[in-house]
Amino acid sequence: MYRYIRSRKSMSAATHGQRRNHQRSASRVFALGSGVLAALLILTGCGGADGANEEGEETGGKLVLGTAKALKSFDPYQLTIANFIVYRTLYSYLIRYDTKLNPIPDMATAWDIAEDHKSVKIELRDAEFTSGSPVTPADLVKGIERAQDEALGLNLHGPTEFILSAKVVDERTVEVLFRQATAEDVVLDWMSGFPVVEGAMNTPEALAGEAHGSGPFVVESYSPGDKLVLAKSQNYFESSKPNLDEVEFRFFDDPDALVSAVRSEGIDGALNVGVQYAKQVEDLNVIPGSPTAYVNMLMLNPTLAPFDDKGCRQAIARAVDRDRIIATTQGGLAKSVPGPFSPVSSAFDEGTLEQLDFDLAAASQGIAQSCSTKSATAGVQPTAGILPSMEIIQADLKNAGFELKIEPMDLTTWVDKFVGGQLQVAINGVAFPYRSPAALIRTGVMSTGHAPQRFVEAIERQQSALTAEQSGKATDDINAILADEAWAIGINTRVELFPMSKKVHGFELTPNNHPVLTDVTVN
Amino acid sequence: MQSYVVRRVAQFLPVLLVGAIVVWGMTYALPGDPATVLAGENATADQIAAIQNRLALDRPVWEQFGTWFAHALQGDLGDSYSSGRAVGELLVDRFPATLQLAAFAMFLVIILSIPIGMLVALRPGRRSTRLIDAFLAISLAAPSFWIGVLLILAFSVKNGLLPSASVFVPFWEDPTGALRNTVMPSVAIALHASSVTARFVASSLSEVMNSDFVRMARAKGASEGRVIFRHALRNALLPTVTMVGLQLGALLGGVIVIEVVFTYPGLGRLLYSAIDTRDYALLQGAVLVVLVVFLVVNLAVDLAYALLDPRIRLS
Repeated sequence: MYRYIRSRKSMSAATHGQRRNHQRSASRVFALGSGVLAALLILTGCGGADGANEEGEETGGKLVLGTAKALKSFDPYQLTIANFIVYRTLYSYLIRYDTKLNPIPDMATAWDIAEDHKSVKIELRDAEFTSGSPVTPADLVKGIERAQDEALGLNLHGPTEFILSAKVVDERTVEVLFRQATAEDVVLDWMSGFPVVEGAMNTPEALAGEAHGSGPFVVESYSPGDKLVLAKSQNYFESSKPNLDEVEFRFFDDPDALVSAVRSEGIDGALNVGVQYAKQVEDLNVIPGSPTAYVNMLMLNPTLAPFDDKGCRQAIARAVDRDRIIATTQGGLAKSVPGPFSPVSSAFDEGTLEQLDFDLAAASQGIAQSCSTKSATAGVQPTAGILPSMEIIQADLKNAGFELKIEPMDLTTWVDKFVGGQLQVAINGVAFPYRSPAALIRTGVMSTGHAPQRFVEAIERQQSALTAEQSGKATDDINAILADEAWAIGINTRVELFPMSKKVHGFELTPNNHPVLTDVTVN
Repeated sequence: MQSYVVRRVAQFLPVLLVGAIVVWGMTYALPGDPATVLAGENATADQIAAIQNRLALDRPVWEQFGTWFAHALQGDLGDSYSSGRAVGELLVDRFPATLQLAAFAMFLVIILSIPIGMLVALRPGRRSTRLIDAFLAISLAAPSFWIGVLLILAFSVKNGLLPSASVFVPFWEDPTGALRNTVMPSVAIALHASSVTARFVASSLSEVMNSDFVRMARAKGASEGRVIFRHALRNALLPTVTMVGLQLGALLGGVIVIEVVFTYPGLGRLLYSAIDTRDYALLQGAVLVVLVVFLVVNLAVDLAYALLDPRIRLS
């Protein structure tokens, strides 16, 4: 048995010959290891690139799309950006809008609003769910009843509040009764956002992990946080559609990884890419997102000082340099907005924009006069463009004598604090692909934004504005209150890009940037 | 040895309990909960409260933890709040990918670190050794995610040679596909890990080469190769076994940053997603599995050490 005696003698004590032998042995081992590593890299570099076409599928075969927003659930009643990939692929809605917000029949083939505007009869298409069960009026009635329940209705509860009840009329028709006379645009907006779900499975629990709709695709496999694979539905009401046999959504945690993947052709397209990547993807077929999809709004919490003073809020509103924010964060591609309505909306008011124009002198004066404290904290979510926008506002406010601290936070924390009313200042994205300003009822401008009571009343007047004149007056009121109360200050439309490989054709988006893949082919 | 193993396994339970409590506490300290995530950005406080009630998230924290832990001891890790899927099923789905990445990375670590360590130990003072030392220092200092991004730029974006976004291709189904999808994340991990291990090997081998038993072996006429490989290296690698074991344990828990950079569908990304969505059940289940894996690997390392070195007595 050896006894080990530690020695401090250096290697120079070894003979020259022994040293050379060590070196040869070590060199051989090193060479062997390097050779193995090099062989690995060369071997794995052989062969074609990964992706949709590796199996050599023909046109209309498989499309692979990447998104930096991992799916949260299959429940279309949960309106969150992360779930947008399933809305138009797995579900059909009563109607859908084209790019000009004109209604197109989808699961509703016809609708007839009563003369007194207190009800609508909806005729449903003769169609089947992806399970093979027929779509019946009872499914729609069940869905409306679910939406009316505050606990179960999730994000469709608010938009359904104008509905009193729904009942089956005959084998294809549902009659929906309203609480009061309701404007046609309000009804159409509701129909455009109301999915038809298989009644027996229409619960949050059932839809958390599985879809039960009547869309063009069905779920083939789903690995949460990794990928979602959809297959062509054999029960879709348009028998010749969709063109694709399969769609794969791959979830990325990092937008840079997403852009690298589409640039290296590892995927066929990327969804909702920020405009800061425009240069990197310029060689691809870049489809711009809808200008109605999102508007960035500066939210000032009127329940917390110093923003409990309307004068202070109005002063802060004059410190928003929209031109500089658009040039810096949106590549100059976005449009200025004074409120939640994009320039393509009939409710967009150029005059309000002039009223809220950037004027640092007016902001400074207003802050000095009306803000009880000259500082506040802004909670900033990680959505692209929001932090630099807030930093520009911070710099301008500093020049106007107001100290704005910025606190970045992850999205869940931000939602928790925003909904809980703990944030003094925030920038929120408001999706507004609707015809009627009354659809603001479903956005964060209302309850979570702590809308003033007069604004809520203006929305209610808009809902029941039956003539063009009434509607115009109600819209003017809404815009005037938005400018006067200044708790939800429009900044800019949010530009999102959808870079696609040049072999992808027929890719479309809804007015709220939901992908429509029915006509897509890949060749 | 049997009694030693039994005693060590018995120690798992208190470690798991403390670990679970710590993770549970830290997660609950974060703002937001699964209800916030499910309700979405435009939710009202009432909607969130309704979801909390439906998911029993409004019960006392200690009650929620107790219920979960009691079920976990029976093998039921509950259902993910986000996807509704069984947590166990989600973990089983991801673990093979993590295992494969860990195996590839450790293979690279071993084939890189041992030769490099030997070169450094056996060729001191040479220019090439100094260059290797510098390379090791850079590899140690450079963040692995940065190395990953560089690899993506070089091999994916520039020439499309390798996929920037990895998918899990089981090696036994498609060895080439598995290699193509795993080589870059493995290299990004291995460069950093092997520089640590190489230094270990170099230091240990240098010390052993000066030992009396090595001199004795030479005096008995053994060839230099036999001296190095039969005597010196075997002894020098003993501490390396511990180091490699710890690294393997860490890799089996998922390398979050590398998996995010390469979009690799392993346990790391699952953990990241669970934190982001405040999916308590999934997070707890995943951490529990990682803890168990780490404890098992540690035990295996100790047993291996005892097998390799007859002087070691497990007690």
